[in-house]
Amino acid sequence: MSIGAVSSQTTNDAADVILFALHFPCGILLSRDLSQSHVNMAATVCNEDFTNLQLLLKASSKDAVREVCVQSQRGLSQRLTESTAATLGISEGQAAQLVQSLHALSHYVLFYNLSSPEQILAIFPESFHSSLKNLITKILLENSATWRTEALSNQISLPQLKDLDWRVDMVTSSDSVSRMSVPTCLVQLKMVDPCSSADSESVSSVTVELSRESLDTILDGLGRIRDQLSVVAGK
Amino acid sequence: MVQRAFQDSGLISWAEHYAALTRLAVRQTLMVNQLVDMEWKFGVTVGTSEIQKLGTVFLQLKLVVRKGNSTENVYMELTLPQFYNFLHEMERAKASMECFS
Repeated sequence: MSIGAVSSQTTNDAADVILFALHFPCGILLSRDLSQSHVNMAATVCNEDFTNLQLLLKASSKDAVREVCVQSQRGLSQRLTESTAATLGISEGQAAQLVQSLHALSHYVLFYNLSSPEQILAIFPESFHSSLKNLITKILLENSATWRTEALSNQISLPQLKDLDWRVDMVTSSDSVSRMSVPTCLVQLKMVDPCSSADSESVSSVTVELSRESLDTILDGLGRIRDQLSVVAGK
Repeated sequence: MVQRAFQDSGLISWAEHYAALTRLAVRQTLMVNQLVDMEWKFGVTVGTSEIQKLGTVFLQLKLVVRKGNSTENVYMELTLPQFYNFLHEMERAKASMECFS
């Protein structure tokens, strides 16, 4: 959940999923929809997960292991379970558990921002197969930066401003004054809601008209924000 | 020019109020989706469910737009680069407006 210094005003379904981000025993899937790209699981990795990870020893190549690790980060899906079962020659049930365990591990590493090999190696139990452990650690380190950027861009937020267009018109006449020359500004703001499902990113757009005074007031406000931002950045 | 004409013809009080009356008439001009108010707040995202420790700045804006007789609130969030772009574009719009006066 977003534990910001101030509260956000989001009102969509993402809030329901956030309520599940508590400690749960491993092996329980916490998504409402299995095909959803984000699965909020607790940031713990348990012994059962490591047992499942040993199934990776059945992989035919390092690239196969890499492939499964990277795909699992996004979460469980029927397609992934089937392809993993096929690649490793295990049952679909075992494949599903493996993907979940991989996801728990990558989620853990991402959450606590484990950036050195020693930190990641320390999570594994003593009895874990050592070269598999090194391989998994290497894969996790390689992908951490990408996953972090992805997580940052996918985090919950209010609709994000994506595009801004403006035009300045000269009003030359109206029903109250037949001849005038008054500038006015039209601004179109295009916003994208990142919390809507991945297939349908809702783009909403609003066009506002600003008088010269309004624009001055806005610029005044924005200037104050900029000044305060530079104070914060300076700290 | 018009004021002088009024003064010459002796309609002094009309001349005094002409400028104010024109300003009032201009203010009556139709505006579509007029921006009535802008509120903002910014803060730091300390952590999320995916990443425990963060320190990214966010800015939230609320625009109050007049639609007919009622107002509509539009909420949005901007990252720092988006904010600086917004500021830059508004400054360009202002410069454009100044050109015409």
